[in-house]
Amino acid sequence: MPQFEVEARAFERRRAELAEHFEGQFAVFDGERLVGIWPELGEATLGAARSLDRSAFFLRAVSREPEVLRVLGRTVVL
Amino acid sequence: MTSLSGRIERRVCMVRLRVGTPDGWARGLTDSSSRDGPQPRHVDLDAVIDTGAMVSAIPATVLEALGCPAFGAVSFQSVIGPHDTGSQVVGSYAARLTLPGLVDLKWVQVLGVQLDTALLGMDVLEHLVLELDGPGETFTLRRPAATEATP
Repeated sequence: MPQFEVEARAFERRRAELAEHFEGQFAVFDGERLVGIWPELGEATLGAARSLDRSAFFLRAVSREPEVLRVLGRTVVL
Repeated sequence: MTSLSGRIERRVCMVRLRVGTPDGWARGLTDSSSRDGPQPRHVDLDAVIDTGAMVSAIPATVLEALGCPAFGAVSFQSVIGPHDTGSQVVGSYAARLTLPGLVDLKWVQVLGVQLDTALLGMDVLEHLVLELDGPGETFTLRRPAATEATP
């Protein structure tokens, strides 16, 4: 399972800036590079797959704060 | 079919969930991991109705076998208590989740977990009406009245 640690750090650095204009949309990073932002999950996934020519990449919903999800009695931070 | 009824077994409500590759996604079938032969586009598996899960969780082996797009690891943080500092990571994927006749979500972000059964979370349940008869040990899932006419 890819970890995408570089991408995760790049996303966190730019989270506030992206949320200013694109909250609720989906951002894809490749390394430090922002590949693109799409309004829907499907568009983002298909667009990123075409751009990067692979089926695994770093994708996150843009939000001002990390989204905290609860599953299995635990929380998941996206 | 506009409703699905079942029995509560050992305090668990279980349904058959169809998990597939998202709508329009065919890359998984051509990845190197899928060159051994034709791969299924969807599988049916047991899923526990879990109103405590904000998102659905699917066995990671199923998502990988289907070739669902993967978005990398996300971290688990325990809510058990401040002294439980252990953390885990799980994969985040996109999938198509279907309860035939009830709901068909073509793009859903799900978690890939090390479980034998799936957890049907609120991302799917929020589209349905869930009736639970504890003493009678039965449950029913149905579409809300406003969408009854939708095929």
